[in-house]
Amino acid sequence: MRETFTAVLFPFVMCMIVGLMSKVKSKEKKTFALIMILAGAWELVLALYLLSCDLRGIGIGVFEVPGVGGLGLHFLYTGFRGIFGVLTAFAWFVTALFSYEYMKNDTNVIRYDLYNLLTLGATMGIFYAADLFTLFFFFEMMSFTSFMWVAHRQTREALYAAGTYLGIAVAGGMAILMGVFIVYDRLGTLAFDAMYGRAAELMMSGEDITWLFVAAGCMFVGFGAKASAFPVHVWLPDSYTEAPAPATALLSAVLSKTGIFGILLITLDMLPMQGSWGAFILIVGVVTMVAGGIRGVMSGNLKITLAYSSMSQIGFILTGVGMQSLLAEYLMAADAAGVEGEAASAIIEVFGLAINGTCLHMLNHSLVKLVLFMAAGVVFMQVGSYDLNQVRGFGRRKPFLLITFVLAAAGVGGIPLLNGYVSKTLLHESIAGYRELLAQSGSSLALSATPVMMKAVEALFLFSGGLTIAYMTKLFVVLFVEKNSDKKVQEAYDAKREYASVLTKAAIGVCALPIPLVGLLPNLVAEPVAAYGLVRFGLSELLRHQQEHVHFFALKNLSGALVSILVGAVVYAVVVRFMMLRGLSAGYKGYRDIFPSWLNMEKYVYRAVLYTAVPFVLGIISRILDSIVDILVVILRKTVYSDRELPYELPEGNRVTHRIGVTMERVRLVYCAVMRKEYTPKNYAHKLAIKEIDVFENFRIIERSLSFGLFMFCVGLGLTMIYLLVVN
Amino acid sequence: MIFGLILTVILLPFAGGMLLQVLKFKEKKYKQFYIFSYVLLNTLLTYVLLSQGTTNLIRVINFAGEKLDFSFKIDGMSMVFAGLVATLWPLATLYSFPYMEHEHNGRVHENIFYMFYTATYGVTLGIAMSGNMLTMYCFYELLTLVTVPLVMHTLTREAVHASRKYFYYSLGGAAFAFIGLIFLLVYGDSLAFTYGGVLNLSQVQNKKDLLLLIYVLAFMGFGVKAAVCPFNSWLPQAGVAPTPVTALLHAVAVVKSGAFAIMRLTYYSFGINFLRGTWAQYLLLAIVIFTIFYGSSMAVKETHIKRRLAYSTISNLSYILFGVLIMTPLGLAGALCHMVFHGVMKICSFFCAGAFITQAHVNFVHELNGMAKRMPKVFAVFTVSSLALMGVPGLCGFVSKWHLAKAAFASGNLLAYVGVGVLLVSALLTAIYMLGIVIRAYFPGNAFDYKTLHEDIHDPDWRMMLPFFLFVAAMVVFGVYSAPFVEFFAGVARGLI
Repeated sequence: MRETFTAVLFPFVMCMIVGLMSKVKSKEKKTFALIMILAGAWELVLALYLLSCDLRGIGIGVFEVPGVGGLGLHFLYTGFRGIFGVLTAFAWFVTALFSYEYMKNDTNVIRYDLYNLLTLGATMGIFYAADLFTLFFFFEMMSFTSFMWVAHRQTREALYAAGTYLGIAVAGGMAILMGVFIVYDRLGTLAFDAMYGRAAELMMSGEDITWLFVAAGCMFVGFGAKASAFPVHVWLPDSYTEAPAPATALLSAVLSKTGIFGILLITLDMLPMQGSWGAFILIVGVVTMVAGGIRGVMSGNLKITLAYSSMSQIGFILTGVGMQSLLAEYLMAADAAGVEGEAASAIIEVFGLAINGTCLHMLNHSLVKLVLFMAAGVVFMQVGSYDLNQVRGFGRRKPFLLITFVLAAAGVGGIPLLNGYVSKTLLHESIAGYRELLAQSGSSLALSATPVMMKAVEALFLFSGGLTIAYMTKLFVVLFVEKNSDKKVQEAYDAKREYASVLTKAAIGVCALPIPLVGLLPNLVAEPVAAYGLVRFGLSELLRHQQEHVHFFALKNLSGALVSILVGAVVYAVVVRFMMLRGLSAGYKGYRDIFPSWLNMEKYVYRAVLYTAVPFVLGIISRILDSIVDILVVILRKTVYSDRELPYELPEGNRVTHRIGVTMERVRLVYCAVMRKEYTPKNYAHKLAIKEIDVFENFRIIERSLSFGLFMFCVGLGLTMIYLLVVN
Repeated sequence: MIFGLILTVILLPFAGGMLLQVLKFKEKKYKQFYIFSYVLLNTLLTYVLLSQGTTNLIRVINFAGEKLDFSFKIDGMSMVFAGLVATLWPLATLYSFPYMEHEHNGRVHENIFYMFYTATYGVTLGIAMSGNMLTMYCFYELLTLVTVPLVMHTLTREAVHASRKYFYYSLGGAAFAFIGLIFLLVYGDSLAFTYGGVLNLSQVQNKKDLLLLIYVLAFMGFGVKAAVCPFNSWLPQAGVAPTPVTALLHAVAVVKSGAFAIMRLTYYSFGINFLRGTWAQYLLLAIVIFTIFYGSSMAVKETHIKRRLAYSTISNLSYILFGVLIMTPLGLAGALCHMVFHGVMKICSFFCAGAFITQAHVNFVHELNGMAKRMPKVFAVFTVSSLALMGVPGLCGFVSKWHLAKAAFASGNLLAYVGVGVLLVSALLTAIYMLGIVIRAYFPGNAFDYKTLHEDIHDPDWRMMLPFFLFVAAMVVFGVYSAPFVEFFAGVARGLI
């Protein structure tokens, strides 16, 4: 079946067509915008067709494009891939609608369109990838093509942000590649299904799987970077701010999910049932969730707040991924310990909660962020800034913007009756359920998590939910409640009725529609979607028996949301109203960013280390090494292989007398200088030379005399005597 | 017949070059046509020769005793190297015509330049087709001699200095290689290249460590041409030579002769069974891994375009040696793969650098701001070759890197694991130093005023563009569909071809 491949290939073909058209035809921007919309729509049709094929029971097997890149590309369809394929196509479609107005005045719109299509193709490739190599192939491609989004405006800041984005993306890509190498070596395959089997085999046989953990760690760096997990999220605020609004919407709604998709695959297929890995992801997730939330609350910029909101929500999703892994480990341990019946089905139920919660929160977050970033784009189109003080009061008397924005903000905030509530409740329930399970029987099983840890995770989970509510309230109040400090500006804002075209409104509206739909009918809409969207098919067998619906509106579940809302209210009141809202100048209160600038990790850790510390140290080493052979040659040349002195005859005396004489002369010179005496040259060299001649003359006279001969004869005689005496 | 053909392909470029000194041409066009035609003819003859290749040893002259003779052989290794060289030479010659027209000294020494330039072709083929260590050694020394005038070509103080350095380094290296030759003569059954090695194990027994030391010395000796750290500094300096020389000789022919000689030394003379797992392997692996990292780091620091590419070459040559030193057939296959693919990628990026020099007269990275608007085609090519060098999947650099890493992991050698890590770090550095140029050229920033670029800067003519086009096609084809090549390399590496 080549439908999957068609869906991946189509954007590339479109890219070529658009590229050729831009050369041939007159550059009518509207035509290209329409083509983009049509391309998005057709891609959506393709993705939906795949979905319908699967739902009708027509099997979609693995499709292979042999030989590409040495290993061949493989595509596969599963429920999860189907859902995210549709979501991707949908997101591209609505942003294309949105771009029609947003990119109207852009000068480089065709370049933007080309790279947009390439990124679409690459993203589809990621979601339909059947093996790690294919995934990596498209992941790299996506990193490079989406770089153009960030660099698009070509300002100094944009290029700076793009540099960071590319740096992290390339470094992450290399880390993934390292992981791929190790996996290929250890498991002998890169196909996800086969990987699962091999990994399970290895673990059963009790072999050393340290290298798999190393591989997973490497890949986590790469995928985590794209998903903006905690220590590698540094590219996020700048890149989100600099990219055009539709691109930011895609970055947040879809591209971050590709990272999560990768993490899900390594968690479920490569290290199945490894709780320690799950605990690691859980911790990273919690840190990401809290850090993103805090930073979001403290930011004084509309888009940066939304960017950190994205990070925080990714933290929620990672928490869900970690829970899946931990619960799978628990399930295995319980199975090995012989737990059956009621107790076993309770575990499976909690497991199902984590799986459904993760998948749903990914979907919900995508929809919500599409709405929010496009709404922010609308604001930017009119105001030309994302600064909270500038956009203040813009949303007043604009009912459409108000409704969609509130739906999305409250949705992601986890207010009951909206979509975020459903997924957050599922995730919360899975954490709470796991904690209870641990408390009941955890001590008898060797597990990676402790009840105390889970308690902390639960508390932080609710706290982060509160942070979400706090920063969303902040944005809501700024945009729709407060008035701009400048009265004239406020009047202009109020007078602006035609703030967005029909297409733009349609794009935002379509995305906002499912938010209450999911929230109001969780059991009818959310649960089937989540059940369909399993990453591993094997799980569906396990979960088939879990028929029971979650009672979303029971008091127990509502209480979690209430805690979050209370926390949110307190944080909002304290941080935003009290700390951020300050008098910037006389009689004028405004928001300011209260996050300390020296905590900027990107600038003070990554760039400092990479651009200053490492080059400095390596530079010294390199310079030395680079010249080591030359230095050796020079040293030899100056010492052992130095040129012979030019031959010249001394006028008088020999070398020894000359040297001694000159030295004595110098000593005398120094002596006179030290003792402050008048120096008159004594010409020792000359004197010594004369002495030398004298001495040698005398010797020559002695040598030639008879008495000297007799004397030598006597000496010889004496020696002979002694020899004879000693020997005998 | 085959012997005659071998002699022809080695001597024809010499003869053609000599004749060039005598002949008088009315117009430059005719001269260029003449040079190109005999180079192309030689390439075609080489193809014919390779297609009928024989793995039998062809003895030419016997000097003394059983072992010392001058002989040729065309096996898989020869096919790979000779094929690579024969394919690139006509393209580089074509490219050199417009380039040399721009060179200051071009008109004065042009004939001499082309004589040595084509003579190197024959010598390199001689290295590829040598049947034993002695023959290869002779051609190896000859290669040094014929390439020195090329480095010296511009006759500036810098060029003379660089060529002296190149000369000393190469001769010094060859001396060490000679020691290896002598020991092989004493302890080996013959000098002929035999897959699996020629050492006579009954003689070796007690002297294992001594022979390993000799191997290390010979490796480093040949390694001088392959620019192994710390014998690398001649290569960036030799970048003063005209770009066709830097591109073809200092990215492919000369430096890869070094790598090729090391392959012969390791797999066909000492034998991997003797060497694998010894301290010599670990020591050399460590050196090579360091060189990979070192070359890339220096490339990041360097701001002169050609020197930057030269440092990149240093790093990439050590990728090849890394593959060789894994000392498994898989490793050799990866090394051969990278030898060929890197040849294409690097010659392409050097040609781009040459195009910058001839068209825009720029030598430094920072002068390239916004240049992509004036030379869109050259920069498109440069971007592709940068991505390929980085190892982006879908282009050829990835394929060779993949095979190297696969071999490294399959060997189970811990140092090889480290090597793969360094390979990836180096890829990251490659991204920095190559994409830095690309980004600069495409996105000079909003503040950049395009009017500061000279009006006359534009893409070069077809003689430069044709090689570019072919190289890009090769990079994509190798990247997308590499199976037949890789299978061939694997066959060669297992000693089957």
